[in-house]
Amino acid sequence: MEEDERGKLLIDSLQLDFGKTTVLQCAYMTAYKGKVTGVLGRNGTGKSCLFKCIMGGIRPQNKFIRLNDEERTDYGHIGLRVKYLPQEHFIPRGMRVGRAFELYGVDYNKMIAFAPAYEDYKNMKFKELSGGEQRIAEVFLVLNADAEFCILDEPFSNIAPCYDEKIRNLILEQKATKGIIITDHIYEEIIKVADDLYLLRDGYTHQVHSREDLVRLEYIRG
Amino acid sequence: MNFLQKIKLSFRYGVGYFIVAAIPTFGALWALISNGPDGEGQFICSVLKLISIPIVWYLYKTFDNKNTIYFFLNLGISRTEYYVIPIVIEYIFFRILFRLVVYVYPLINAWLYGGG
Repeated sequence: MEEDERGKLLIDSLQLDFGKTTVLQCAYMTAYKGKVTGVLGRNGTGKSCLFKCIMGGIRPQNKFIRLNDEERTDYGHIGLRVKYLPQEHFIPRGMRVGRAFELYGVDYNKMIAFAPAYEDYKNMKFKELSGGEQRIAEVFLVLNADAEFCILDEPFSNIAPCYDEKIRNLILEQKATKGIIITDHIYEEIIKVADDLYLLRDGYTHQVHSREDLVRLEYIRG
Repeated sequence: MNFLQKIKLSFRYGVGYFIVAAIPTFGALWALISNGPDGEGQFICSVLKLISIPIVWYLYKTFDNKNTIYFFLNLGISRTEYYVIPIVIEYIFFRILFRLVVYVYPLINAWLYGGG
């Protein structure tokens, strides 16, 4: 299938300033359905800001976002079509685990099949789970929710190594039906799952085709 | 997600706003009772309430968990709806209490003191 025939999420001309500090300038990115798009970058290069701008949590000075080449898209309610996993815990601490799954329309039995320990957690509040357990539930919830695109901000952080492979497999399984945008500092994990790669540096996005590009752009040492 | 569901959810995420806003709301209503439910009392009460809205909103926005908004954005609630719905609901609640005081205060006064 040609890339342009697939569903796509296009971000272009993204300009974000905080006072005199420019975080993103002319940032662009195209993510396709059926593909995993990785975003790499050092700390503070604006990866999370880029995602928050897409979701509408931060209002940038300028942005151009287009879903599936539609002339008119309701960007105010983009969450109906694009699900976002922030870097930190985002589910209300007082909410019961089962209720969060209910609201997102995800079958809790799937969660039990993914991680059997969660059988006892359904009626517990998120604040009663450990940080890692919360994170696994959040990653699973966002990946399994009905959406055209998923944005995952550091899904591998705070998670036990035994879950890394499970999450990687889940991402690869979910990319059959949706487009996935992912970032993490464990860049080897990103390289393993990503079909397309971008690097954020000095506010600009650079498309990365090989490991040499990452060395040239000073993200990793040669 | 329909609008009623969004309102229902706002009772979950807006609880912090409702708690903080309750203080100026009851303060404004106390001013209404103290000054009497006539024109002057109503004016003071309304001004106090209107001044408190941006202050309460600022406090709520400052101390609210910055990431929780994305749980609700993912459900199809827009950023504007996320902030505006609790303010509108709380204001409607205030108006109901306001009307109640305006209508009930003279009746209680008449019942207690046998006058108007």
